[in-house]
Parts: sequence; C-alpha cells; structure tokens
Amino acid sequence: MTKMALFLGCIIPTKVPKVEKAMRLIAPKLGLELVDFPFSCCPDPTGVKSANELLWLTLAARNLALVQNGDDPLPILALCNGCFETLKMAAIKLQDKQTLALVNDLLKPDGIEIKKLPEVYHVLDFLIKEVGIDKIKEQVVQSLDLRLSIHYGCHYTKPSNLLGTEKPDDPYFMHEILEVLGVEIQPYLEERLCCGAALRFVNNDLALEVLKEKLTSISAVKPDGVAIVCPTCFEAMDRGQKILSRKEESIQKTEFFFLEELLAKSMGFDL
Amino acid sequence: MVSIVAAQQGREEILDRLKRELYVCFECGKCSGSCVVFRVKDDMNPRLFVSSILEASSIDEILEDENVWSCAICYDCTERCDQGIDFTHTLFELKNLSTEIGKQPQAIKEELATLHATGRTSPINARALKKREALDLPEIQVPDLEAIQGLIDRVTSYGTSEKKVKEE
Ligand code: SF4
Ligand code: SF4
Repeated sequence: MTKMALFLGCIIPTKVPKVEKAMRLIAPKLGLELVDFPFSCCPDPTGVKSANELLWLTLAARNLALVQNGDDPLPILALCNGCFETLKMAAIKLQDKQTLALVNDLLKPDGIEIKKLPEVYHVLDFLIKEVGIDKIKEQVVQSLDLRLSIHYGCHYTKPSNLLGTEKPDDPYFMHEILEVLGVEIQPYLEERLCCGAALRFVNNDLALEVLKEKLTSISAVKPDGVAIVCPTCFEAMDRGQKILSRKEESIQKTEFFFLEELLAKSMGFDL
Repeated sequence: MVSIVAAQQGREEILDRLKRELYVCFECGKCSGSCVVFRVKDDMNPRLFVSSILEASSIDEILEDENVWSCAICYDCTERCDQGIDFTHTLFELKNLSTEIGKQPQAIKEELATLHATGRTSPINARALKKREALDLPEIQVPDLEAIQGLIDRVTSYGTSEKKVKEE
C-alpha cells in the first residue's frame, strides 16, 4: 500500500462529492491508502493569486507543511487541476531558500514549518506514472459502452515549464486510461481550448463568450458526454451550457463524467 | 522566473522590472494569436498590451486598462512566446497591484472575504452535508479557523509594512 495525503480542495467535497466517493472506492484497488488532513483551500490559482500572490503562496505552503510527517513528507494526491497547480507551483517556488525562509517565518506563530517539500501529484499523472496502465487494466470488470470527448483543462498541463508537463500540446494520459475502460474517444477541434472558468466571477459575459467556442466545438461531434478531471472546469461548463444552450442553436447540453467516476464504474462500483 | 512578491518592491521599481522583462518582445503576435480572450474581445490583445506597458510612464497608468482583469489564465501566451515572456504572470502582478489600491472586481473582494470568514473559497453548507451523508462520506476535516485568519492577516499586513519601509 502506498500512503498518500488526499487533497480534496474546496469544490469536490461540497459540490461534487461523488468524485471523492469514487476515489475512496477505487483507492484500495490501486494499492493506495489515503490519509485525510485538516487542509485549508489550496487556494485557487486564479482568484486568490490574482488578488495577492504572497497570500496564495503562504496558504499553499501551510498545506504542504501539514504533511511533513517528521522528515518524510507524504506525497499529495490532488483531484482537481487548480489544487494540483497551486500546490505543485508552490512546492517549486519554495525550492528557493529565501522564499522558503519568508514563508516559514509567516507560518511560525502556528508552530508549523516546511522542512522538506512533498511530492505533489495530479491524480491523472499518478495513475499513469505510479500505478501504471496494466494495474488499472487488471481491475476493470466492466467495459463502458460510451463515446466520450475529452477535456483536460488548462491547469493540468500549463505552465508546462513549471509543472514539468511532458507534452503540454498533446496530453494523452486520459486517452490511455479511457481506452482501457472500453470508452470510444470522440475527438473535436477545440480539445485544448480553455473553458473560461477563471473569468466567470470577474466578467461572466466574457467567460460565456469563451465557453461558447469550446461547447460549440463539442456539440458539433455529438458525443455521449465529456470526460473531465477538474471540478472548476465542470462547474463552468455545466452551468454555462445551461445558459448557452437556451440561446445558441449550435450548443446542445451534454453530460460530464469525472475520470474517478468512470474508473469506479468500470471496476464494478455502483455510484 | 520573476519575483513572486510584488508587494516587496516600490511601484517604480516594479515598473522598471516589468519593462526589463518585456523589453525582449519582438512583437511577433504569437501571444495574441493564441489568446482565447482575444478571439472574442478584440481590445484584449496581449501583444499590444506588452507594448503599452513598455511605453507606460507609471503603474497607475497601466492599471487604468480594464483588460488587466480580462485574462482567462489559460497560459497559452506564456507557452507560445519564443522570447520567454511570461505574460500571464505579468498580468498576475498587475492584478495584485490593482488589488492593493482597491481596484479589484467586486467578485475578488467577495472571494477574499469568504476565504477570511470560512477558511475556504467554497464554503461548506447544509446542502453539501446532506449530499455527503447520502454517499456515506466521512466528515470534512477543516483547519482551525482562527489560525487561518491569523495567517491571512499576517500575510496581508506583511506586504504593506514591507512596502512602507521601502517608501520611507
Ligand atoms: S509572443 Fe512574446 S515576443 Fe511575440 S508578441 Fe507576444 S510577448 Fe512579444
Ligand atoms: S493567459 Fe490570459 S492573456 Fe494569456 S493567452 Fe490566456 S487569456 Fe490570453
């Protein structure tokens, strides 16, 4: 069993807890022991970081400090693109000694400190790189009869130089997993396009204009649904499509499936 | 990688540094060509934005541009730039500076207020708890709210006191 700190973030446990449920169900099948910690929000790498980058970094650092586990920090498993990006970028920025000293100073009154930086994984990377496609395959008991398009989301791959993404223009890990689950993959023109989520609260009309580009492209290929790995993209796309499909003929509503959910179903769990 | 803590420098110093970072722009326009917002809003043009920063005489002049807050944070401009300009981060710095003088959008003010009041940006409510119960999920582990609030207060006052020292 590999022990990992489960980082749920703000949105999954409150708005889409079925993703958490699915992850907790499949973890033992993949040889994972998930440990819960009293984390704060990651915090989000768009709003909070736009307001105050030092605050964004320090709150992220506090989360990294919680998994210290003596001097053998537990690796962190993030189920959300935003949480992954925040924690991973923070861990990279904190490799700089001066920045680390500043942040540790701010954390000191709470009696916590970062001694060693933990590994931060996006669930998708963890599944491919650490669990391995063969082990996933072994656990599949039911092939999924679905034709799905895929949306990775910006913050899973970018900025690639900091996140260490191998093929930022051509992410393929979700493609690999879905194929093993028996899903037929339906490509579409704007697969890499942003969903506009970060603009929603700042300028919702503009966010919807951006999303329209994405959803029009998905509607054109009429998939059974869209496979996703980010609850923020989900919220933006699912709420946005309700508004857009009413006034745009080119947009039909579709269903969104989280990767964890699809994995759980194919492993025989009834969600 | 540029400095993370905009608040640690005076505004003139920041403008000088931003100009040094952007000076290598050769106006190829790849950033604009890849910008999802530029596609739908023709005055949000990253290439021209870079030029306008290079020509600006003060940070406040740059902050007059409402498009400081029009970025979808997709990072495509940063990914595409052959000159290594991280324009997404330039905008982060400008948004931080805009927030410092209270020019941030209402939604950002509200998000920060929610973060301070609840320790998260998406609070736990009765509906969420009901959904969790139906799924038989464990209780959400939450941090000590007072500790989080103390930390937020320390960080936000750290920025300003540092800046005061610099300005004096
Ligand atoms: S891509 Fe880089 S070099 Fe080209 S216009 Fe944009 S900032 Fe300038
Ligand atoms: S990060 Fe912002 S400015 Fe850059 S391409 Fe994306 S939306 Fe445009």
